[in-house]
Amino acid sequence: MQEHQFQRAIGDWSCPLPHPRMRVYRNNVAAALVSALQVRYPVTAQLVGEEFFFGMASRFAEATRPQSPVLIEYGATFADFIRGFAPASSVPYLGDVAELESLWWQAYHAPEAQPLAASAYAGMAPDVLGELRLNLHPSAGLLASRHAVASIWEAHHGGAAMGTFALDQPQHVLVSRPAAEIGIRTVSPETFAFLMALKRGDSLADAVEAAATLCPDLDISAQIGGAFSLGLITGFSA
Amino acid sequence: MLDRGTAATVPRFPMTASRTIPPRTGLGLKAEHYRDILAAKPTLGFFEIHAENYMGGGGPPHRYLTAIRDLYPLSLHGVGLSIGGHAPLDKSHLARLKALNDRYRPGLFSEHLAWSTHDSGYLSDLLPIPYTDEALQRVCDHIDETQSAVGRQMLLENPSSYLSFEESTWSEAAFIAEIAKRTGCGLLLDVNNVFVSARNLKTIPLDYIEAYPLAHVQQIHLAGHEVTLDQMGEELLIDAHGSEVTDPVWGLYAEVIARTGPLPTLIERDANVPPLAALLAEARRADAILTLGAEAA
Repeated sequence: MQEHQFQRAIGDWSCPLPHPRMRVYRNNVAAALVSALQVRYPVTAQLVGEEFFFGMASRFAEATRPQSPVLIEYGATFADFIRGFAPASSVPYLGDVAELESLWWQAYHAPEAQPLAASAYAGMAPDVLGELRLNLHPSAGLLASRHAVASIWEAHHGGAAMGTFALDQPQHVLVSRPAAEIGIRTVSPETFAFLMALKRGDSLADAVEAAATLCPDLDISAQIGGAFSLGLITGFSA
Repeated sequence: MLDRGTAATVPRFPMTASRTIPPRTGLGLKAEHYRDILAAKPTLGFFEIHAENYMGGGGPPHRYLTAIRDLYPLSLHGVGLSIGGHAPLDKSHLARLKALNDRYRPGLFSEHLAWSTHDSGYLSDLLPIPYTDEALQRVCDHIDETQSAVGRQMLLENPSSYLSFEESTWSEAAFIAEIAKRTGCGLLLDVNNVFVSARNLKTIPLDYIEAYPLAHVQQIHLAGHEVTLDQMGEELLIDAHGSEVTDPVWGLYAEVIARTGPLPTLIERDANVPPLAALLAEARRADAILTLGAEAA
């Protein structure tokens, strides 16, 4: 066994093994990636069972090698892979559950940022306020699903059991961790549109407009106050 | 008993202000044990973290680590630097390792004699290198660069091997001794790796210990391995970290401690992680061997 043979065979898994024991190294590489996905996507794994998940994760790992040794970043595109993975199509909500778990994981590892109190904007003239951009907490993630994706997640975390709610109930979900605990909550479509606009970097006036399009009698101060009270706003920029 | 603290073992790089790790047993820090550790505050010499698990921006991992760091000394163990690789070291990864060292001031910082970078991306395993003059120079250059970039001495860990390379002209123990001499790095002796490699390569574990530069060893790793068969039907041990330390590895560990005196010793468990109490029981077993080593000294 020579080094160049080893290097070729460990990089290209279709290459024949130059030594039977090289299989251990290939298995280790694959197992570490599958294990990283199991840690990041535990509900997804429970929904399809260990064996199916192992097969699906192995296919993903073959196609998607990590580019960094920081494996906590690995697998961010797994939800998209699942949506295109034909054998999983009988579980139509699986990709969205994976995306929610991915947002949870991002919130878990997101940088710290101090939320602002709502008093930070008290006393500002409405036209000045409208031009501002509100910085969303780095942990904040948003997901709009055609399925009851938050209820499915909660059913696997001590909430109401699967079967006690309709799976095809659309849900808009906010994930955030302004302090120690990660929150997963459903929000109204207009709050979702408002927060999405803030996350995009729209001005406050444009974010309000995006929400008002969905809800003509929108309570603007309740929208803004709600974002502050959830600890989602960490700063202003012009 | 070896004379520790001779001129050859003086680190070339100053230690940062950090809590020194006592010559007692520590455990790998697992997320599933965060709460139990803070609630029970078990008696342990230190906790060790995998550096890459704490390279996120913030959140519970850093909050728990900060709280545990206030109670215990910490050691920092990298798994992804690819010191043995042909490719240049990843500068951004070195910067992340330096940031973690600066933030948590671990008593010890270690990495592996292995490689993991490849044109296709990061290969999530500790891959072997041949022991040649060319590899020796490359590894020493990478260790020099690491110690300069991070600003402290590092420990180098011996690998677990499943096969060997035709090109090798050095024994592993002599290769590692030469690295320690040239770079001033310390050594992390993984006793399970010694046992696994010796069985797989049909050599004698104690011969390796006898040839190894024990005066440079500052930390020990212990872990469980899996006993399997390869395609030829021959015994093949896998360094799986998924079970208890085996009796022959405990025996080899006692042989090492009899020669070195007590050293900080880590019980590693990275798969099938049991409740904290089970790992504490294994830690007590290592403590008993360390106590015997101290009495013998």
